[in-house]
Amino acid sequence: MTKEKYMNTLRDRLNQLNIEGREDILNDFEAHFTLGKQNGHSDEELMESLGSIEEILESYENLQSPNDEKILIDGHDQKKEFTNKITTIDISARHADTKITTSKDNGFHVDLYKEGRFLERMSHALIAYQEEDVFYVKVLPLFPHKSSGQYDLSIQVPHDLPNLILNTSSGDGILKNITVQEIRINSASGDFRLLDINSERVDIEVASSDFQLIDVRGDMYIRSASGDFQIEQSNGENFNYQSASGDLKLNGDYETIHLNNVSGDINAQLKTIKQMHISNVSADIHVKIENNNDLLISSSTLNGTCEAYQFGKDLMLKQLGQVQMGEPKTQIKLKTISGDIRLDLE
Amino acid sequence: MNPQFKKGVLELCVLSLLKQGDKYGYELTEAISKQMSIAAGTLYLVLKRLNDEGYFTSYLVESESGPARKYYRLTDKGSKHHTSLKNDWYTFIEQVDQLIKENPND
Repeated sequence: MTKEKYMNTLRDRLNQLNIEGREDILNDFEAHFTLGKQNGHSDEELMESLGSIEEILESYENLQSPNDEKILIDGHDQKKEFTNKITTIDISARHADTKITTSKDNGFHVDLYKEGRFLERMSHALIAYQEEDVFYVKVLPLFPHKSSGQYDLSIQVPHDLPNLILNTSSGDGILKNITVQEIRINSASGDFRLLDINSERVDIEVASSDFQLIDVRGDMYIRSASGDFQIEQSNGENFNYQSASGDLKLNGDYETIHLNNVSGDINAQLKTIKQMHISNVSADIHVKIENNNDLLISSSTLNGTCEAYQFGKDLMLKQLGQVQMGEPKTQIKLKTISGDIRLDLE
Repeated sequence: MNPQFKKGVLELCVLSLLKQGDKYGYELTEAISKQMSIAAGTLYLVLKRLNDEGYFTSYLVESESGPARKYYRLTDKGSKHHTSLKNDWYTFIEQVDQLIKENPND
């Protein structure tokens, strides 16, 4: 690549990303070439030392300066109304523990504490800024680490939130008493509690994080490697659960339920359902369904058992067996390889 | 070295070099890339960010050969930020140091 091509590519990419002050950046690079040449370096050497453009731009997000004019929040004492422009709040808490609650003044506040001590908003540990319609809150990568002390991120939000995205690595989270359009939580090992949440959709994707969800309204989509889930008093139309070895304890009211798991056990208590699919490898599954009379249950198993009980009557489902009760309005499909599935119909 | 980690450290390196006296961009990238392998392009973004945050001011100096050089000077705010980053850094390495030393297998 020639120097001209390098600079043109850089200019194009900076324009594409709409990066502010891109002329300054381009001038700095031009000066680097000029001075480098004077010091006896070739263009090729200089391009190599500057690094590939994609590598440089990849770092841009981590280095980005929060522009003061764009900041909607101000420390812990000022309140600012949310503008309609914001559709998403995107929080990267890394190792910090995060607590999200509804604010009393309908304002938006972000505070970071280290060992209980309040840190300035714009300290090196935390940045918050708006970019187009997304508001970002980021605990920065370098220092906030478990070994450098306990960091706590406290976020107070207005009554009606747009979409909320929360990413943590080992940071735990508490979300309490909030109304939000959609919630997405990604976590490696942080444990979470969600209490009293109103939402259209809750997406959770975790490695080993454990979750407790109580009083959560909205469709639920869960993907877990080994995290355990305890869900109580929750409801929505769809409940979708995929897990490798995590256990699930569910007590809720959903119309359509999909459970796919390998070895994590499931214990569920449900009300009226319209459709339920369970696909399982080796786990024990126990599902209790209230208020259902008109069912079509089909099951297939290789080495495990599928059983259904109703009103004290035993309805044994053999391999590939099918049982019909009343007008089959509700379809239940059970599949297991070597696990045991038991249905209790009340 | 973990790239994320290195970027955070870069900020501290840049501020430390400027603490010793005003420098221009190329000089800073030379000084840092002599010590660690780093894409110099990234450094210009670090400089821009720190400049935007008011940690330094910049001024142009005409040069006999070639274009004017943009020098950076640390502000009081930058100086304070440097102290705070430096303290955090020492706390951090001390803690890591402790962990390494306590490893009985070494």
